[in-house]
Amino acid sequence: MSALAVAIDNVVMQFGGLRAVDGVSLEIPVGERHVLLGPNGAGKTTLFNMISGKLRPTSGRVSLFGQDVTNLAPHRRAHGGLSRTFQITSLFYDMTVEENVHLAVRALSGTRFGMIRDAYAYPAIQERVHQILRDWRFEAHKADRVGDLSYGDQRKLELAMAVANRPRILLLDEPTSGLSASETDNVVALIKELPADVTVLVVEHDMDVAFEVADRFTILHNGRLVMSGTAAEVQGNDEIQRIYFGESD
Amino acid sequence: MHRTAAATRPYLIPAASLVVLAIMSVLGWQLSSYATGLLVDCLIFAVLALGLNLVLGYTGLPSLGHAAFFGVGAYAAALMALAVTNNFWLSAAAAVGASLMLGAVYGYLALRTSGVYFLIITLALGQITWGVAYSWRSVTGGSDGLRGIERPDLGFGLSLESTAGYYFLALAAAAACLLLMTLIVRSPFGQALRGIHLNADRMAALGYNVWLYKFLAFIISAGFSGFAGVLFVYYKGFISPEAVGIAVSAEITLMVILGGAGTLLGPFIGAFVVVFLSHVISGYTARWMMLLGSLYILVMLFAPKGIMSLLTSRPGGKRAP
Repeated sequence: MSALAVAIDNVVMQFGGLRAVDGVSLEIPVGERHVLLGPNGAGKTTLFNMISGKLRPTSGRVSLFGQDVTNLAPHRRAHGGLSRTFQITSLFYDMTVEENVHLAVRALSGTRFGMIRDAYAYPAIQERVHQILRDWRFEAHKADRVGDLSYGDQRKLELAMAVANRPRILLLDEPTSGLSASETDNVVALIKELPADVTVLVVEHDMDVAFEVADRFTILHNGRLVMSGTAAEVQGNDEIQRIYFGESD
Repeated sequence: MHRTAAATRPYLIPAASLVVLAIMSVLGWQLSSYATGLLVDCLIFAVLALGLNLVLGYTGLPSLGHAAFFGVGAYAAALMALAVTNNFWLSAAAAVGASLMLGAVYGYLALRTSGVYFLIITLALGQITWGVAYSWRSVTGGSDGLRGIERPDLGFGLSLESTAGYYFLALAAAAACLLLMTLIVRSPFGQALRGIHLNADRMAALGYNVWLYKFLAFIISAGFSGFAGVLFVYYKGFISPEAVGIAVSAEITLMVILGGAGTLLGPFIGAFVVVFLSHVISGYTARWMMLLGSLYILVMLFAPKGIMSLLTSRPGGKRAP
């Protein structure tokens, strides 16, 4: 029995001569909203990819809800309740909005290998797809090709798809990058409205957003964990100020 | 896009298909035996291209060894006909079964790679199959191939002896294959293949077992190709290693791309165009392969998405970037 949603134990990721993540350990309790900070190249996205399964660590272990998933494929982790967005929006650009949402909803359904019945003739799936389209105000655009949507709408659609199956762990890689102020507010509101037992891990560069959503912060620098702590601890730490906010003081 | 059209007018496509089927049935009675024979060739290659299209067009896997499955289907049916039974259904079942099994083995090997490496491995596996057909004389007859395969017994008292009779079998078989492929492509499985083609990382993150989908698609595709081999060998009455070689693999790749990869009717259009052209042009010159190459280049330059995209794009329907 473990109250930890994510447990990372001394993970290392070596890319040739580059040690992108260098012995990071981190524990995130269920329901925590955790923000990863650090300059470009600090290893945040690499750490994300090891948690989601896109990368397998060179050494170390990753556990989700107390289960060692270090060698588990990404789709298996998704079935375990993990969902993610990508730093660079990752959608099916040549499909319609509805088709994108449909693929997201279908992903965890037992019917995803069905080969005979029309994919759009499953009432329960269709109902959920249309509910998402309504909730996220995509109904008027459901037949639009996703590649033709505005950047902000694409970002929003990726979020809608990430939460379509009510994940237990949500990884958001720079969810507000490139968004307008009002779109950013919407993302913040969305994260805050998630059920309390959903564990959220966010890579975020916007400090206002970070301080608004986070219970706790982790700062990475050059692949190493500098510190984990609350907002007060982060703001009071001189080294953090120097690494993250510049050398000025 | 085709989905929305089908959704607003759901009877359009089935109705149009029935009309085409009716016209093609009438043609079977009216045309000369030479022309009917040409149509049989078209239909057989259409089924073969239809199979390849599932991996090449829908899943985005550029297999250059699909003649192997065509060949194994043809050889298996030939061996059944020569040594076991002349019953079409038993032969076809055995041949498709053999193709599915070979598809599983080759798919397992080839799917360890992706992109251009996948292309090279499938090409190599195809050539290995050709080599086996060429050198395993006791079973395949070597370069002579297997001959003397008689038209099969369908079991309904239907005669396939005449070209017209066989044409109706090929037409019914191609229609059945197209129907089955339509169901597969529109099913959750088929939609997942499209998703994998467009963005495999996203599919994996959503929870789809990308490898398994590709593996299953490869096997199913091999089954269609093997069935085309069955139709081929019973029509020609012989099979030789030529039908297993790289030239056939390249030709069906062209058919799929020319007609429109990732569309249901594209492989049919592509097969009809390529088979017709090859027959017509072969009458004038022996340099058909050279013209085939030129055709390939022209398609790449002017219609990279194939003939289907020219037919379905609406005037003024240019999309914003």
